[in-house]
Amino acid sequence: MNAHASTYRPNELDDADRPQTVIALRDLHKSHGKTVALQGLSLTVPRGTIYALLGPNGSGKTTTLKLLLGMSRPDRGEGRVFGLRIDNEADSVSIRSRVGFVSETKELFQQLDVRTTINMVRKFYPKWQHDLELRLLSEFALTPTQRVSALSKGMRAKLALLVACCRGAELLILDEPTDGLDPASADQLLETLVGMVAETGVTVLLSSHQLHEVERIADGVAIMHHGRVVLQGELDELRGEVRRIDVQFDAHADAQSDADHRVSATADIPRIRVLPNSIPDGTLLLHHSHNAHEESLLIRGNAAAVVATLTTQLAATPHHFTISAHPVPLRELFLTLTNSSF
Amino acid sequence: MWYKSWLEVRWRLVLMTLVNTFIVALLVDDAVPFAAWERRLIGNLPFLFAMNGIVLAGSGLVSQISQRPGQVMHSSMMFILSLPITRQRLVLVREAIGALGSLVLVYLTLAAFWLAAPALRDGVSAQQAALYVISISTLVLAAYAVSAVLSALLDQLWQTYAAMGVLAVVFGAMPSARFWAAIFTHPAVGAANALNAVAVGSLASTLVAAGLVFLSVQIVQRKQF
Repeated sequence: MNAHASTYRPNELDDADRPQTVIALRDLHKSHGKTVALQGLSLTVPRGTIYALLGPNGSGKTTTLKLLLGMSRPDRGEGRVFGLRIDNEADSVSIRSRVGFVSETKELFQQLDVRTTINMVRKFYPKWQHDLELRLLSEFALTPTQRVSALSKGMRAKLALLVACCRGAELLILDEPTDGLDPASADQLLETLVGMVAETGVTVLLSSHQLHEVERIADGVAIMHHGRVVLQGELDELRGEVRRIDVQFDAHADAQSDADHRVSATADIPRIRVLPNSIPDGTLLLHHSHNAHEESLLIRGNAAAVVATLTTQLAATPHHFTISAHPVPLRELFLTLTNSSF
Repeated sequence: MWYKSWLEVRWRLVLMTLVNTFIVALLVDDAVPFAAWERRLIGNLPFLFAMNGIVLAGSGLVSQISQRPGQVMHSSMMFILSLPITRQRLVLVREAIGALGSLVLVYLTLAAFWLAAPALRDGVSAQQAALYVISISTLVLAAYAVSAVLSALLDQLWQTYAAMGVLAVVFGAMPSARFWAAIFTHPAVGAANALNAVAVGSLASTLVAAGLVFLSVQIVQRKQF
């Protein structure tokens, strides 16, 4: 790849004061010793949405979640949840009183049984939803007398989700919620989440590797790479705005043309001169040269305008070319932006 | 949180109860003269009680698990830290439960010795017994606090041994730190002398314990996970 543009929407911390925004992070930096976990992370999560944090291992997802919960503090930058500062201990306790959290490892107290776990957690939350507790106990087929240490990973995930959901929380933070679940259980869990959002308006921030699940339930995504958000937006918006533009130079036609006109065009094929600020109504996310004859652009914005600009540029040269714009599925977008393929 | 802390401490308490029971069974012997008991009360038993405190304080937030033999380590750190409680409360409740458990264990062990060893009952006056209990209580709290600080700082299961090492070094380097020894000095030296030594020693131990507990809270509050 010869260009890798980081793009995100500028977040104003004042957004956090507005009821529409639950999480507002701006330019967060965090290092663990010499390892840089976050470098300029900015993220905005609107209220009442299911928002997915996507990223390869080590991209900073779990660090971000820990910062939101006050388990760790940012080295630099500012962050607010419900308008409260994430780096202030008193604020952090208030944040946690309004948040349900399920960790990646689905940690719970191994020594307790299901009933005692629920009773222990409910004491911290005055808005505990007893009806939902009974419903989820039944739906998840959890036996109250069973010890946590005897539960399978899937059942532990369900219990962790139950104690997170029943808190009457305004925000659920879920780290790989379906990890370790069989497909049927994962489906059940996702349906429960979607139902909860519809019923209660709770906001969900989930970190996941399961792109098909994210596409199914998420309203918005933030793709993380190397400790920053490289793309963020509503899924529908991204589906409509992000396009892959492929430019192919026809070497055979050029050679034919060379023979006809006695010039050598193929020796001097122009690179596409497109800079991020030169795309009308859009942003260049990536520009990749596959070889001397094939170029690809990943853009967010007005694809038709970009295609028109490129066509005008290239039409002024003696080369034969084709330009095509394609929608980009989430999986391809994820892999492309995280350097896996293009 | 009290119940949670009890769950974390209980297997350590069981382990130390077994150790103390073994020691009691080993040492109780009708034929042992009081002079031998004196040496034990001054020398070996305080270290046993200090070890009780050290073991009961021996886990931090990351390694905070029940010390159940054979159980796979399962930290509940992320789960606990996601609850709406301050770290100060988290640490203080945990340390209060552990310290209470240590003291109860020490008192029960002393009571067992008292009941099972007639030579001990005959040789120790009520005043000496009271001063000894006070002294040992503050010693146990100080040892507990040393272990609690190391737990907060190192957060590894092996730090129990480090705490024992710290205590061995302190008492090895400063024999006078065994302030409870004054309780069993010859009556000619005087009860007032013993009282003074216990008062100063206990106050110093209590202040050390309080300072270290404060330090452990500060460490955990500043810790990032």
